[in-house]
This record gives sequence, structure tokens and C-alpha cells, in this order.
Amino acid sequence: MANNDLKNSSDEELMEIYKVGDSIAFEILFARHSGRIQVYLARKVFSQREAQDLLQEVFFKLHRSRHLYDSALPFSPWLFSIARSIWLDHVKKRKIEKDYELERITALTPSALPTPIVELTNGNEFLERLPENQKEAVGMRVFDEATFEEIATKLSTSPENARQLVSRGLKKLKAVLGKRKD
Amino acid sequence: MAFRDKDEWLKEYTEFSQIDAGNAEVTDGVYNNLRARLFPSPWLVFGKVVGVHAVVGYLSLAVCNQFGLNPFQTEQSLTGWFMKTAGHNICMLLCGVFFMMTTYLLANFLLTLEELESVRRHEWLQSSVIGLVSLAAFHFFGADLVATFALLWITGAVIGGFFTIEGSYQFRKNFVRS
Repeated sequence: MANNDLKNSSDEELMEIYKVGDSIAFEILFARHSGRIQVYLARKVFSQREAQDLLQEVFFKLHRSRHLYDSALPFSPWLFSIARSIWLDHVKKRKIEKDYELERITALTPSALPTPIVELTNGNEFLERLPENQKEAVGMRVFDEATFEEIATKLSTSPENARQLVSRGLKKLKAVLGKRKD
Repeated sequence: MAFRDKDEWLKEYTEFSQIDAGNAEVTDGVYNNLRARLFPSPWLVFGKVVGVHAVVGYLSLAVCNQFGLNPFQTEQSLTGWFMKTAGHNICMLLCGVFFMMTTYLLANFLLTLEELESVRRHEWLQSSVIGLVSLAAFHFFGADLVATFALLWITGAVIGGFFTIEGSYQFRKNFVRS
């Protein structure tokens, strides 16, 4: 089929041709849909760069799954499902990374905290920069070696929230520390 | 975060359909990266396969001598077993199958699915060329090639190449997510 004929073909027809490995069919499908998918992903991840990376993953997945596509069904919803699943995978991956980071920070016992952070909190000068509940949570964790359950009881919140307060507080202190080093 | 119902799916899909992509600028870099990943250059892939074949083909001589070439001086060889059980002609055919099969099986560890797909597009041509080059190399290293046996050998090599590429591709496409 000539390129012009292909350009006039429907998405479903192009997918049939693409299934046997025709790169021109891929090119046309990419030109037709990449813009919309990029906008969709950019709205979801709030980053143009990440959206571009994910856009590649969408078309990569489409390529690997093209033999599963049934051309009796419309193409656009199928493509949308792929784009959404790529975004969800991305969210899950980021959540795992975030949870890991949280776990790593909150697993630190006061004696295992980096010395500069202890110094900073001892001086109270930097601790004062934290919001009230974070300051209290970090203080209890660092000076009193309180458990998250104890911090939660004191602050009338859940242990999970107490863990987050400590984590956020420590992160802010680490950021202050970073700036001070510079 | 799966869809709770059809309405939710429809709502999000409608939003997706209504996106005005007019201002969206997809950079050439994105397209070029993707294209290189999905449709790798057949020459580069061929180069990789030839590299694998040079190493694997040479090492395979330790297990299955070809045309009397036995650089590792091994006492046992599949050739002897093929010869004893199936006769000289079938032995040549099976030696060709084995020689090409080992290359493509091991090439699976180096090639992506898309590269394997590229090999598959030219599988007859590629196996024939690699087979002929191998025969030339055997001759160069002192093998005494007889036309009938060489023909049987290359037929075996092409058949072995075809089935290994097809089998590997179908297996990886359906069962392996990499």
C-alpha cells in the first residue's frame, strides 16, 4: 500500500498493517496520537519531561502488545487504556520509591541519626524553623527517643501520621543542612 | 486506582478524547529514540548475530565437529553419533541444524525482542549468508568440502536457523516480558 493510501487509512486499518511490522503504519499512528497522549500524561504527572518519557513507554507497550489488538474494536479506547496503565505503573513505582525513602528515614533511631542533624536540633535554632507539630514530633523522636506510638498519643494523631511528621521534619532539616554546607 | 465503574472510565476517556493536541509539541528526539528502539537497524542486528556466531560457532566445534574440523581435539563429538545413527547425509544436515541453532539460541541473551523481530524479517537471507560465510571459513581453515555434503549442511543450517528464530520469537513474545 502506498504511503498516501496509508495516511488515509483508519487507525484500525493501520493497526492491522502495523501488526505485521510495518514501520510506516507506526509512524502515522504516532503522528496522529502522540500529541494527545503527551498532553494527557503531562496533566497527570505535572512534568513535561516525565510525560515525554512516559509517552515513549506508551508506544513501546503498544508495539509489544500489538498482536493482542482486535481490529474489530475501536483503536482509541485501547490506546487510552495503555496510556492510563503506563501512568498507573509510574505512580506505583514512585509510591514505592517514596515509601522506601520514608521507611529509611524513619527507621533511623536517634543514636543513628547523622551527627549534624542532632547538632542542628540541639541548637534549636533550626528546629524552630519547623512547623509546630513537626518540631514537636522531631524533638520527641531525637531527644526523648520516643516511639511513633508515643508521639502519636502526645500529638493526638495516628502513628502513621506521626511517622510522616518526623520524616518531613527530618527531611527539612536535611535540606537546611545541605544549604549550610553550600 | 482501577476504575470503579463504567461511568468513571467513560468520563476519563471522554476527557482524553477531547484533549486539544494542537499545541502539543512532541520533540523529534522522542520519536527518534522510540523508532531506534522499536525498529533497530537490520545491519546492526546482523553485526551482533555475526559476532555471536563467530564465538559460539567456534566453541560449538568442541561438541560437534564440522567437516572434520576439531580445534579442541575432543574425542567425543555429536557428529560421530549422528553418523552412526542416521548415516552420512542426515549427519551433514543435522550438523548444519546444530551449528545455526546454538548461535540463535545464545543470541537470545543479547538481542531484545525488537532485534529478534528484525532478524525474523530476513531470517532466510540471514541464515543463508551466515551459513555460506561459515562454509567459507571451514574451507579456509582446511576443511575438505564436497558439494553434496555442503549443500545438505547449508540446508540444515537454514532450517535450524528458521525454527530457532521462530521458536525463540514466539516464546519471548508470549511468555517473556523483556
